Amino acid sequence: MSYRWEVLRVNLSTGSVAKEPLNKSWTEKYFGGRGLGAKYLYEELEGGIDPLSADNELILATGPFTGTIVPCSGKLAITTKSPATGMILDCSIGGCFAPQLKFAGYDMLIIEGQAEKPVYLSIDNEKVEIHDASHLWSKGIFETESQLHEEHGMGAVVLSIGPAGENLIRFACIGSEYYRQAGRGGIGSVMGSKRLKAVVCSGGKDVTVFDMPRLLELAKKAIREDVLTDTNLWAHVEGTPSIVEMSNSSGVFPTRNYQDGVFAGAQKINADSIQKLRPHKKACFACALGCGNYLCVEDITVEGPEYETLALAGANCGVDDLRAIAKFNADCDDLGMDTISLGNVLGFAMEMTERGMKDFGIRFGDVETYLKMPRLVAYRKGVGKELSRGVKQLAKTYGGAEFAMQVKGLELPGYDPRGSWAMGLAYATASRGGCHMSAWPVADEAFGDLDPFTIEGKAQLVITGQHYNAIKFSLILCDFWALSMDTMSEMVSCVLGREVPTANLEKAGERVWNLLRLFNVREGFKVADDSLPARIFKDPLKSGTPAGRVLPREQFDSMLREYYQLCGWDSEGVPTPEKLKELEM
Amino acid sequence: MVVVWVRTYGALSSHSIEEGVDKGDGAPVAFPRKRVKVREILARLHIPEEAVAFVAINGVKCTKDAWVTDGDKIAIFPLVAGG
Repeated sequence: MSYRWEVLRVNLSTGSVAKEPLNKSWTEKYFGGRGLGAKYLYEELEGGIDPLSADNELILATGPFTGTIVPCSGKLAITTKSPATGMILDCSIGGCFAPQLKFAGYDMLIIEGQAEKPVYLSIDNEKVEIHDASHLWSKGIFETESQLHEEHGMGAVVLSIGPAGENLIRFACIGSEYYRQAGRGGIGSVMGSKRLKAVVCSGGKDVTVFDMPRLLELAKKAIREDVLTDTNLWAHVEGTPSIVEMSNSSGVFPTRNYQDGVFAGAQKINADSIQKLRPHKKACFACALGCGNYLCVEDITVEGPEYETLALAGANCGVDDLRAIAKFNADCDDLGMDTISLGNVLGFAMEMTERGMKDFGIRFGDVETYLKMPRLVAYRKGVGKELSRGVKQLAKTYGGAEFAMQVKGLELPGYDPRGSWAMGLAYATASRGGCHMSAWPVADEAFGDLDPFTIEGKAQLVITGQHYNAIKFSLILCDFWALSMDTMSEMVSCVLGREVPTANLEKAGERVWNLLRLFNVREGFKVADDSLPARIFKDPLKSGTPAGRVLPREQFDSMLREYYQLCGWDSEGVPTPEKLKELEM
Repeated sequence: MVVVWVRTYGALSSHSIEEGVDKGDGAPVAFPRKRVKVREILARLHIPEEAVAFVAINGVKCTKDAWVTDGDKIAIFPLVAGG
C-alpha cells in the first residue's frame, strides 16, 4: 500500500531505460527517502569511487507518504556520493516533483552512467525518453524550467541544474520550481558530471492507502491540532528569517567569517525588515504551512532569502543590504549554487584578504564585488576559478586552515558552536559533513532554556535529534513540522495497513543513522575527521551572551567519546558488530 | 510609568496587544511602575509561558525573570523546529 513497487533505472552511458521491482524487504527496514536511498546507494556503489565519474549514482526517492494527504509530505530525497566531501550525501527538495514521480508510477528513479552529450530525461507515466539537451546547456535554471514547460506543458515538474552544475562546481545545487533547491554537497555537479541537464516528470496514476477514511480523519486532526500550532506557524508567518533575531540576540549569528556572533546590521536583514517586502506565499504539495515566502525589492524577486542565506551570504560577508542579499540569492538560484557554501567561501576569502595572507580582491561589506562573485564562481572566471574549490581546498593552498569554517569539506551553516556546544557535536558527527540537518540542538540551547555551555546530556540530545530526523526524512516529512513519533507511527500504520509501533520507528531511525555511518566508514572516515575548525576551540567570541567563550577542545573530545559510547560505536567511531546485530543490519 | 515596545513572532503574533498597534517597531505596552519583569508582560498579553521559548530585550537574549525598563524593545518567540 502507498508504494507503487516500481523503480525506474536509467543508464545514461548505454541509454537504457529499465523498470524493476522495488526491494520490499528494504522498505520494511528503511521505508523510503533518506533511508531507502542510502540502502540502495550503499549496496550498489563500490567504496572509493570518484563522485564525478560514471560510477556514481543519483537516487531520487519518494516515501510511503508521498502523493497522499499526509501533511508536509511533498518533498523528494536525492542521494549520491558527494564530490565536496567524499561522503554519502542526501538532500531533500520541496515543491511537487516527488508526488509527480509517484503519480507516474515510480517509487524511485536511479540514474547511472554518464551521457556523451548533454541530455535531459522526460517521464510521462510509462513513456520515458532521453532527449538531446544542447539547446538548454549553459542556460540558467529559470530559463531551463520555462523552456521545458513550453515543450512538455505547465503540468510537468522540472528538476534541473544551472551553469554551476554543468561546470562541476563543488557546491552546485539541483533546482526546482525556480527557487527550491537540493542544496548541499555539490549534488548539482554530480548531475552535471552525468551531462544530465534536467528531469521532467508528469504522471496521472493513483496512490492508494490502506485506510483512506481513517487517514482523512488523521490528516484533518493533525492539520488542526498539530501543524497549525505555535510550534510550527512561525514557518508560515515570518519563515526562517525570524531566526535572525534569535541567533543574533543569543550571539551565535556567524559574522565576518565567524569572527563574531553578533552582527551590527542584523536589524536591517531580520524578519521585520523582510516582512515589509513580502507580496505573497507559496506551499509545497500537501502542505498546510506554506513556508515559501516571496520577497520583492526594487527589480529583484526571489523566494527567500532564508535564514541560512541571510547568515552566510549576509552577516558572514559583512553585508547588511537586503537588496544585495536578495540579488545574490536570486543569482545563485538561477546559476544553481548553494548560498551557504558560497557565503562561507566569500567570508573566508574576505578574511584572508584583510589579514594580508592572500589577496582575493574582496573585503567584508564590499557589496559591489560581492555581487559579481556568483557568476565568476559558477563559470570559474577570474578569482572565481580559485574560489570554486571551496574553503577546505583554499586553506590547503593558501593557509588559514584554523579559520576555514568547514567540517569534512562541507562549509558550516549559520549557528556558531561556541554559543551552542551541542551544535558543535552535531556538526562534527553529521553524516554529510558540516551540516545542520542531522540534528538542530541550537533550538534547545541558544534558542531555548538549556545551558549552552555545558556538555552534560548533550551527546544524548544530539543522538535523539539525529535518529528522529533519520526516520522523519526516510518517511519524508518536512523539517518544519515538529510532530511526535507517535503521530508518525499512527500515520504510517494507517497508510501501510500494518502496525508500525513507535518503538519500530525509533529503531529504524537508529538503523538509518548507522547505515549512513557505515557508508562513511567504508570511505575511510575515522574519529579524527569528527572535528571542528580550530577557531571554534581557540578564538573566543567577542560579543553578546557567549562573549569570551570557546568550545574547549577537551570538553568537545569528552562529548564525542560519550557520543560514540551511547551510539554503540567503538573508539574509532565504527558501529560495533553487536550494535549492527541489534539493529538487524 | 514603563512603556515597552513588544514584538511577538509566529503564532504568538495572534495574541492581542490592547494598548497599541504594532507598526513594525513593536506595540507599546504600559505599566504604572518603574520596572516590570518579562513574565508580567507575557501575562498581560495572555501569552502562556510554555508557548514562549525565547525572549530578547534590546537584541540580547534574556530569561522570563529579567527586568524590563522604560523604552525597552522586547522580542518574544515561540519554540521553533528546523532551520
